[in-house]
Amino acid sequence: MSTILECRNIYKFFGGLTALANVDLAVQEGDIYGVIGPNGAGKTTLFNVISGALKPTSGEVFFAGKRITGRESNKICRLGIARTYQLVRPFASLSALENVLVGVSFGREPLLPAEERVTHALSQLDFVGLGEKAEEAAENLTLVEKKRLEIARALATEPKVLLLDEVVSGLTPTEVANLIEIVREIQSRGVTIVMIEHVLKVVMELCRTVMVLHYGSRIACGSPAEVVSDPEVITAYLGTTQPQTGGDGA
Amino acid sequence: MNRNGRRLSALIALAVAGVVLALLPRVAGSYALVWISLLCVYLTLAASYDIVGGYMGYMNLGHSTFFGLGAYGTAILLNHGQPLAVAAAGGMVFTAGFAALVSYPLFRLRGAYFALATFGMISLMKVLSNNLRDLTGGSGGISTPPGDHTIGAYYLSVLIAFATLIVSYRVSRSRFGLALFSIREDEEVARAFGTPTNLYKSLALVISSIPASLIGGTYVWSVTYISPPAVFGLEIALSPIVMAMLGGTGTLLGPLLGAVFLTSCQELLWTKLPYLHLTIYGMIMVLVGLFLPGGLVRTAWFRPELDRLGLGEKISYPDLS
Repeated sequence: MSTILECRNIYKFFGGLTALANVDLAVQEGDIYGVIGPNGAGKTTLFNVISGALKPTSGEVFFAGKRITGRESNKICRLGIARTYQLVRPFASLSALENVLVGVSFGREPLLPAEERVTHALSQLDFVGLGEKAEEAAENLTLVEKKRLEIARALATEPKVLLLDEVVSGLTPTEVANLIEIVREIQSRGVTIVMIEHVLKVVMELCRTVMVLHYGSRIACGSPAEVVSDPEVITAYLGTTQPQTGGDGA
Repeated sequence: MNRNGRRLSALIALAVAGVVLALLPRVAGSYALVWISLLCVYLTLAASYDIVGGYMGYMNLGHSTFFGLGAYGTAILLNHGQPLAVAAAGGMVFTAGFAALVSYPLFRLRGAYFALATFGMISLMKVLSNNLRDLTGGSGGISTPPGDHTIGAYYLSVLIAFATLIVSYRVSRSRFGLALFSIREDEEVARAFGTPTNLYKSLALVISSIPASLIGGTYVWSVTYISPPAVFGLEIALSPIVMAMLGGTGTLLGPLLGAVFLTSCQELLWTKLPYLHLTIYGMIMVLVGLFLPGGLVRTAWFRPELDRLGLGEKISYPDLS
């Protein structure tokens, strides 16, 4: 297995705020890689840097051996990195089919001939179980359907790497189980997956490697079992116990 | 109805409309012809505005700049002894070039900022046309070689308006149109999914500028005189946008319905109620805005019919490509 996606020494500052500090990441081809961390740790910023929505302040991103740092997001998508959004962002007034067609028509290289695009888009919708809703406007779908639609739109670009940003948050246990199945199946098609996830059960079940971000820094990286028993990770999530001193109320 | 059936009925309707419009000059007086020509001016402007304003969601308040530039360009070339075809083509090339040039700074802005900047473009043109006296005749306006062009202008205007609707239809059913829709919904996401947003935004502005400049050229050829307020005034700037919105912005037939509805209203009120016509015109606009916020095409009378004919917003599978 070779490394398909790599970040080296990524820094990202927003004014005086350090969103990412010296973050390294190496994802093996075919893997499911987890990124976890408390709210505001910089997980989504990392995705934005990889997908080209943001330029890193310094550091390099490599994809399949090629340096892609700071390239425009539309070009990165065509190279083979697709993403979903934590707060779903479908094209609201367009139908589910049209949403996926945007991915088919622009996000992949080489371009499919016109007559095959609709068929391809429909097969992606079928895959995530939205075949029946193809003509429904995206804004009328339920949250879980919107999340599935985002996955279908990303898959329509035939990505080599899929960035999933909290796909199961806000879903019921049954819906979560269904999505885990979908993610597994995507992996079995040979797509490498990087997922940000808060639901630890999902991470433990799916990921082979997990990285923990805290205040923009990588504090741990390893197998899920290793990571959750790491003292620093436990501190980051739960805080430290204050020594009981008493009396000093200042 | 299947796709071929729909196509056939649409073609029959088009053919009937074409024959009626072609034969009209034989029966109708020049009053009606001039009125229809003016309607076509507004229709062309409304429909071409809607490619950027409706499909792509960028409210271009300065769309009439292209109309005025086309008119002035054509007028200047006509006065240099060029035939209409050459003059109008020259005006069009000049306008499209201008659109391509301003698209770069303008599209760095979004939302209200974009709308205001484009609106400012009109004032800029007004100042320029008032002051470049040798070229434009200044505030005294510019006259072109005189002659009665009523029938010629009628045919040309109808043709340009029709061609604009065809272009609008083709765009809405194309890959390019899909990109414009996705930019309207969420530009950043459209970009993240591979759409070359900057290129397409410029292209959309250039495409929308072409019909506007051509109809401007036809207009000046027919009325033989224009002045800065006539082509860079508020009436010509805002009416087409209001028409597109009242008819239903972002749809093929919205601008058509809006233009026909408002121009007819204006004409009726002006002739029947000379004293109150502007008051009632304003009231109609407010009422339509209040009760039909999606425009006429999105009402229960029109919507199902248009979808059935394949001319509505809902695009059926085989049409998508």
